[in-house]
Amino acid sequence: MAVVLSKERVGHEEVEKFYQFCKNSINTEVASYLEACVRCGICAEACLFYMGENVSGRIDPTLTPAYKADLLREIYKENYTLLGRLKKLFGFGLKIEPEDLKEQVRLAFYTCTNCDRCTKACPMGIDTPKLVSIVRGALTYAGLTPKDLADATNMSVEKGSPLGVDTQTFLQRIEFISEEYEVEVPVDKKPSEYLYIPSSIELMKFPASVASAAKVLNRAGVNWTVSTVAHEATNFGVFAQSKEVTKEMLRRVLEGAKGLGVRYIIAPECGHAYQSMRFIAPNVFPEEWTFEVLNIVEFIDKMIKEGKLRINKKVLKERATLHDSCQIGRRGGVLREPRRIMNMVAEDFRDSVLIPEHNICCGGGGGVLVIGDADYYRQKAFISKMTLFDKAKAKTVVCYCANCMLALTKSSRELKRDYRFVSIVELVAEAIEEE
Amino acid sequence: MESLYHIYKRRGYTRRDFLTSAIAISTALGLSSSLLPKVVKALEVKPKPVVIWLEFQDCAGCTESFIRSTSILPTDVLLDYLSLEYHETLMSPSGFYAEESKREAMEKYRGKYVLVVEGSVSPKDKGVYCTVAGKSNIDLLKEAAEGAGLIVAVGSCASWGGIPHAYPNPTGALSVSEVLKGKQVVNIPGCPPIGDVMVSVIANYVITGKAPELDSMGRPKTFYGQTIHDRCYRRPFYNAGRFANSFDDEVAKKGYCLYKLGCKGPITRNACATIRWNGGLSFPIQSGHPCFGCSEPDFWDRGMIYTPLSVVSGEFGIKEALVGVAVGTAVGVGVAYMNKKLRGGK
Amino acid sequence: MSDVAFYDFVRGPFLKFALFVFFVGIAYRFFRVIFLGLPADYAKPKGSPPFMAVKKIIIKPTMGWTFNEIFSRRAINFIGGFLFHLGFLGLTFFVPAHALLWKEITGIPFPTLPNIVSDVLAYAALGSLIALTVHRALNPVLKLLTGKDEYFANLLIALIIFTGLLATRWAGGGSYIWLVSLHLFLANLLIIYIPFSRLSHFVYYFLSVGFMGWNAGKRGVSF
Repeated sequence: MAVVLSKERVGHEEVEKFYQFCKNSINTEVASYLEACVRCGICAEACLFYMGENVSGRIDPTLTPAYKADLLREIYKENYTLLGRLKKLFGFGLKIEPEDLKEQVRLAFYTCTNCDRCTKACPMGIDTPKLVSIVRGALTYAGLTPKDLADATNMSVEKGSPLGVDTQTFLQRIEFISEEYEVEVPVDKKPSEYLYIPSSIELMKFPASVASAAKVLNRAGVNWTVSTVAHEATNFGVFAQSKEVTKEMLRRVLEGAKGLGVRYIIAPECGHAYQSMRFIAPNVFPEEWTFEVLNIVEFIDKMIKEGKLRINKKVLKERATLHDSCQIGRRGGVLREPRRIMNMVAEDFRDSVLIPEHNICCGGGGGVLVIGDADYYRQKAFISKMTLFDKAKAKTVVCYCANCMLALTKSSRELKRDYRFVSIVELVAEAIEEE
Repeated sequence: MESLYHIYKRRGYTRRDFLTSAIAISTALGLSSSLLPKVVKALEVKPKPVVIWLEFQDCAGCTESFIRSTSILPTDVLLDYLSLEYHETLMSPSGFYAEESKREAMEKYRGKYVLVVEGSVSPKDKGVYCTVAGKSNIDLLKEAAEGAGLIVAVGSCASWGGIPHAYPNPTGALSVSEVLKGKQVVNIPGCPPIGDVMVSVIANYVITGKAPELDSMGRPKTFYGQTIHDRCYRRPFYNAGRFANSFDDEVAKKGYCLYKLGCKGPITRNACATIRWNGGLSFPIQSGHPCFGCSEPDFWDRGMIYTPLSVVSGEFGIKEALVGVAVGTAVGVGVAYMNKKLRGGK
Repeated sequence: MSDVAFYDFVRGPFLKFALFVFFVGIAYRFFRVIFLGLPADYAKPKGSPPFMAVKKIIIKPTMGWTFNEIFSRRAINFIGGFLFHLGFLGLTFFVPAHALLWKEITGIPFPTLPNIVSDVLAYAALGSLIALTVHRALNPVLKLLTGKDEYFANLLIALIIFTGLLATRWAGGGSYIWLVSLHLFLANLLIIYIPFSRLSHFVYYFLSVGFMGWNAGKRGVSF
């Protein structure tokens, strides 16, 4: 089985593997991004980790997104450009020390959530998440994934989910939710049109979300089910950027979906689940992945448009603002839908940004929440996120990703703040409850 | 020997005419007004200069320009004042009598005469391409230069080699200063140079006994210290970006700048824009033709008389650009494929 | 060497060489990246990738100005950068002497600017360049990112604008010839330097922003 390593000692073999992986990851797109950087540093002002430090009075220039890609850039130059090759020939090539790789782990895993905000700010449109993903992949290939993340990834391959939810536990939880929240959850129903795949974070930490999703699906009257084979929406292979793990996790989803003959897959309130199933899976299984993937919020919006769901009361009374999940919103195109829903369910909805794509990341995505060593950075990032909440003067924040909710709740508690985080699906379920 | 003042009196001019000329000479030479009494005194007292004018590979255009100098001295005074002891074009004797006259003058006024040289010098093949009375031009020049008080090279041919020096230069033409290495030669370039400039330089020798202040290339600073562009009356049009597009078009008639038509004014040092020609009547730009830099070295080889100054000399058009792009593309694609191979395919 | 001989050299063989190196170099750098190949993308796009790619290429320079949170912190980058690029591009293409040169190279007759406008552009460009370079030396983020390449390029461009101003506005007494020759010499150096440095970013702009637009179209976002 594919396994992700987290070595303690970093030696020259690891450096060599890192180098080789970076060298082989260059294509036209990546090369354009690496060549295009004009060192303007505007990306720093967009990065929530840099801003978080900045707001508390410190400036850590190494948190600049452009700097995260710099080692990759040097490797590219050394192997693909004339001047770089000449430099290497004359002995002035790159000398990567093991400490440099440790620094790369900090830059790629602890202080980057692949939120894409720097891309929007960059005058040259450089997609830094793509470059950071390559660095992550290279570090994983060299066996230097951070321990917490490696453990969770290995767990998800072995047991089926990063929290250790195997098929049996899954069935138990579904039963529990079904009883506790009095909602019907079909399991392995054949034939079905829609396959709903919860994430284990929701399943274990926010069971109300799963129940709400089930309520909504039932009320919409569609033919849906969950699957015991495809029971995990998260894909830690995407965090660690390990091709084998990504493929394996997606293969399970494919197997389950194919087995049930569904047409649609509904991704739950989980950021990278939508990314992996909507945009990555068709490239991992070009021929077999024929499903249409919808995020649950997208699905709700679609049902409202088709008249299958009706929201006729505002269940959120206090001033509330919306937190956009980066992977679903800015990187997934699901930005207008949650706002439409908010306007229907909230009495006093104040958007914290003029342009939805400008919203700030929760600071816990991309596996940062899982990694203990990254806690400091996540907390600092929350400070920059708070400025948006305070701008909207809201204490209630509606989210559409369970990981975001977990990260924000954790940070808020650690910094002793009193924000309240609510899932949008729960609100919808409440709003359509009585009819 | 008469002085200038005596000539004026003899010719029937008034003292006022004499003073006007003295002031004109002073102004042309850029001397300060406080020196004017000294200038007048010098011109009253000092005897007229003896000039020996040698012509080698020339067209006699400089002579023509010289005798048409009328702003400083009236023509009859001019020809009286500058005692041309030897001038192949202008003097009356010819043949051996002319040569004899030259030899006498060189002996009698040794160390004091002004040697004016017109035309370039050809030392090639023992100087056989330009001879006078059986003697090669090199020998004639060196002989005359020995006893000269001041050596003046008039015209671009004498100053830089000029037209004979242009490609392919079959006679191996050289400038006077290249042949007379080590001696001070005053260069008055131009094709032809302005007559008033030549007269003023000689007058300066009379007044001060030496050459005027020269720049690093031997040109008098007062006349060649600025470019045509610095003093051109069409400069405001250049500043405003108003250019004539073709000869005699609508806007050229309005006096627009001739930069687009190839004016070399910005890189040409001469006094054409201020002193002008034919008693200040006009100069090429005023007549609607762009300057082609006739007082600068190698103006004929530079060519590009009608192409603008900022254009690449030697042509760089769209064809060359496309050739460059094609070469770059070929190399780039080749390197990219090589990189792909080295990368090992994805 | 006399001043006119030097002028003939920089305007003749040296300029020709520089332009040739420029065209070869730029084409080389562009195609060296393009032909590296791209893996196929089988995910169905949510928006229209080609449309977004083109749209972003056209409007990207203005997008930073709508990103208020960032603009307020880095106004100097946006305003200075804008003034500098506008000034330097206006000068390179529309000053009469340059317009004639471009007409020779491309065959298209460029319109010309009056001197007063060129002056304003030159002072704006020079002023912004100096301000931005000072900012670059003092800001900790930029200090980390900047190398010798950037400072050298900035210095070269500043000198070129400066000598251009000197030659057209402040020269007299024949010093124009040396100044304009110096201006041409430095400009030739710059033209040769562009394909070897980060200054060729204007070529990569189209690629990088095109890809970003393509991804934005694929994901269905509009910003």
